[in-house]
Amino acid sequence: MESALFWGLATFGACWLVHWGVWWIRIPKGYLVWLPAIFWVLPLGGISFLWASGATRPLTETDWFALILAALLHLTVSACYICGYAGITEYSPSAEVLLAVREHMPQGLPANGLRISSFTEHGLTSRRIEDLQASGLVAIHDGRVSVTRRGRFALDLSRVYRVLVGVDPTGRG
Amino acid sequence: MSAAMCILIIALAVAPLSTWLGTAAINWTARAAGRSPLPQVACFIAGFANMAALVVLVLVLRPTGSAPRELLAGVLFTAAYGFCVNFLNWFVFTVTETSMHAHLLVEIGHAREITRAELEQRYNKTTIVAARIPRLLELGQLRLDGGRLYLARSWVLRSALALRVLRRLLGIPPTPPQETAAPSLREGGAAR
Repeated sequence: MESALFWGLATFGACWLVHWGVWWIRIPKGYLVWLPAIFWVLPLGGISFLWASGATRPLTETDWFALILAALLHLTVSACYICGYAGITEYSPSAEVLLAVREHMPQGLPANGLRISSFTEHGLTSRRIEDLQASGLVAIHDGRVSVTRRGRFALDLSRVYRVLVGVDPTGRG
Repeated sequence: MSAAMCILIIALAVAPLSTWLGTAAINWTARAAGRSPLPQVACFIAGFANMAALVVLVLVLRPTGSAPRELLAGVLFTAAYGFCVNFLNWFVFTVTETSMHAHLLVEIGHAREITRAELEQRYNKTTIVAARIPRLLELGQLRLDGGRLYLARSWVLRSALALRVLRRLLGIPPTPPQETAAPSLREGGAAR
């Protein structure tokens, strides 16, 4: 277990350093391609190369166990990081509300006096419509926005998931 | 591989499914009891219960022996893995609940066809913040007392501050673009 914990975290750490290096050279636009490539394809390629070059000794049962556990840990930690990366780049309105209230502690802030100077309407809504259009989920014709077939599939998937998990079919935004 | 090793690998592999099933079971139980489910809380309860079960399992199975360092590593490993599974379960739910992209898609889907101006009128800064405050109160991150908002538990705020550090490390602006003339935002979306 000790080696599984060490190698799982060390692999994630090494991949994160590669990610940091790439981001300092230039922040790529398609992070959904770059991050899986760095965190999943790169270590898989590294292990395959080591294996093919014959640099590894034959693995024992305990080695296999440690390898599987380390891979599971790296996979879940990196999946969390890739999912959470949207939170790094997108800025959460909830966090901005809390930061605005924090500025008025300890006396508190009147609920009807909350002002959020961060975020622009463009950043919150218009840019997201452009993102949806770029992903092929919506189409814009003559200034009117409609859901594409792919968008409809995404909506149906979300609705089925929410019904199965026992909540209202639509989120509150 | 020993039976203990195989059982642990299988338990770790099915942990995402059992966490999700636990979340659904809590929500459905709340509905059956006539209460409205608190889905984010349900995610955390199911996630931490699953994490605790994995820690107990590794202590019972002891797949690589009973040395204290191995047991400690086993506990840390399963706790870290369980925490990540918990986060992923919560994240998938959150995408369908709070994601602004998802909400815009739902709005467009409901309207079938809508102009950008109409969409921006329905879903704008005021409505977004108005939806967030009740949720932050529900999650215990804010407290409303005598018409004033106070910070309560602050794990969301701590996460936001940690994200700022990460943004600085990665060369991303730590705060979102600022408006030159900030509109007044009022609870309930009544402002502007």
